Amino acid sequence: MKGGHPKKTLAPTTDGLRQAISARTDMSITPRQEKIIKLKESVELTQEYTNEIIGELNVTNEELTITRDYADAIIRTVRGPLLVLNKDLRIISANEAFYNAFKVAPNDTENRLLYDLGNRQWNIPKLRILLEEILPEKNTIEDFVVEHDFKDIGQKTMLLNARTLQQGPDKTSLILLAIEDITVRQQLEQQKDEFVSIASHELKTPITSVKAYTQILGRRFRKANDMKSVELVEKMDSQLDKLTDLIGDLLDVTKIEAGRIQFHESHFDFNDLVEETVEELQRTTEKHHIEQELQPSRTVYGDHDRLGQVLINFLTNAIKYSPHADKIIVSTAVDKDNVTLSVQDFGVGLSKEDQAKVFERFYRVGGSDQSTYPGLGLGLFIASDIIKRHKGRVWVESIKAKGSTFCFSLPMTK
Amino acid sequence: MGNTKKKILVADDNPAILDALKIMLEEEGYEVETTVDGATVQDIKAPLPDLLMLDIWMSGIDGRNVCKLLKSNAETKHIPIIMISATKDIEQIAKDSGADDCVSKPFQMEHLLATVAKYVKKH
Repeated sequence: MKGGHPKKTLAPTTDGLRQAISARTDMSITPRQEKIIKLKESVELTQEYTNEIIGELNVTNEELTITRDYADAIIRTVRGPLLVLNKDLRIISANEAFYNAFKVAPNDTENRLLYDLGNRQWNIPKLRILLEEILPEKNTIEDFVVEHDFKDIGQKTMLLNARTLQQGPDKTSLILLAIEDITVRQQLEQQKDEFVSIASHELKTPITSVKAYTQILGRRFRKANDMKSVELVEKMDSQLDKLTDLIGDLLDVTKIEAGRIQFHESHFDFNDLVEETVEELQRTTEKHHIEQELQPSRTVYGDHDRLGQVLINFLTNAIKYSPHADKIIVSTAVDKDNVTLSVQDFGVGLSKEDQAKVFERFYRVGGSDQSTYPGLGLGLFIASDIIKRHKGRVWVESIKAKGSTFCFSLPMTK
Repeated sequence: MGNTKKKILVADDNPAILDALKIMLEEEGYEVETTVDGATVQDIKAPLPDLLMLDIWMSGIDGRNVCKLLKSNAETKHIPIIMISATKDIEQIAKDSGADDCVSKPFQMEHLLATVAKYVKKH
């Protein structure tokens, strides 16, 4: 190694020692010398091993620092209030967002019991049950809503998420408690619901009078035997019905979201409902013939009008999405547990992707060839909710460019 | 002969709806009186109408309360009341308020006239 410096060692290596002794004495090594050499060897090994451990410890320490910084950064970055508690519910740390949201200072927070904070304003019975009974058993709490009137910040609705984690060799429990203030979000939701509810009522008022005038005109034309005008007025009337249905859909969605949709259940003959609805929808299309393949009827228990709404939705979709076909098949199947209804069309069909999403709210089938189909993307979402609320099942089978079959099944009740 | 016509009182806070209902019912042979002020219906005096059509949400007054009041008054409880509203839960509301029947807005004329005819004979 030209120009290289020999590695500095504090002690000569044992091999070197052995050679030095041999050279100086020109004799073989005595047992005592051999013992010393062995001892020296083991000291060196221990030294090496210790160095290695120290190196590893340094790395671990570095990793720990990185991990701690990482966790700290996360806690500080999270915009929602976050508390770290020990198993006795004493606060170990809180983030800025917590201090800001609840108008408290670190001095009055850290090392204090959660329930003692700010004049015991966190002493909330529902929260106590959550943290003392539910969390120890399940280790996580997800999206739990707690409402509370705080002394300084007023009435709040909070969404709580918590998780316990075991730390250190003695497995000390830590509790992470994330608190999301959803008060404003909830108020906005409520305002939106109220707005849609009032708007749809207000929109229906002028429609009611226009529809009434239209029907009066229709009757006058009929009396005068002016059938051409009767036809025009009837077209107006059916457009007004469409407008009413759209408003109804908007209102229904709001009700579904708020869990306020009401059902008026009764026993009724299923085939009667199917036949009535088919007759009604047949009047809206000249191009399609709606064929019925119905098995012997059964009495079902449910909301007659709402289930009729589902059927109307399936049939109007079948008509809408099969502009070049002339046939739609409505069939029923009955077994001892369920009655199943299917509406089959021979239209544009749905891709696998669309099939998975077609019952979602606001979902509209995209793509260039379908972008011209009108609609709010609410009908199937409402239909699916109505069927689910009847403890039934709703699904679609479809082949792109061949057609779709929309089905629902309802459980038979005694 | 005009005096033998059955009298229907319609209360709704929307003048256009009242106008259309008046034409519709008059053409059908009824005598129709309308009011946009639901509060006046609470203390109707003789001659009492043969039928009352009552909107649920009227400005300043709740049709449900008017209905309950009239149905709890010995002098008016015999008057058939049909509730009219744009709300989908109208059937339940009508039942809870003690109304005899209900018709939802927007009306299907044939259905509305058939419902009215159930409670009053034209002549």
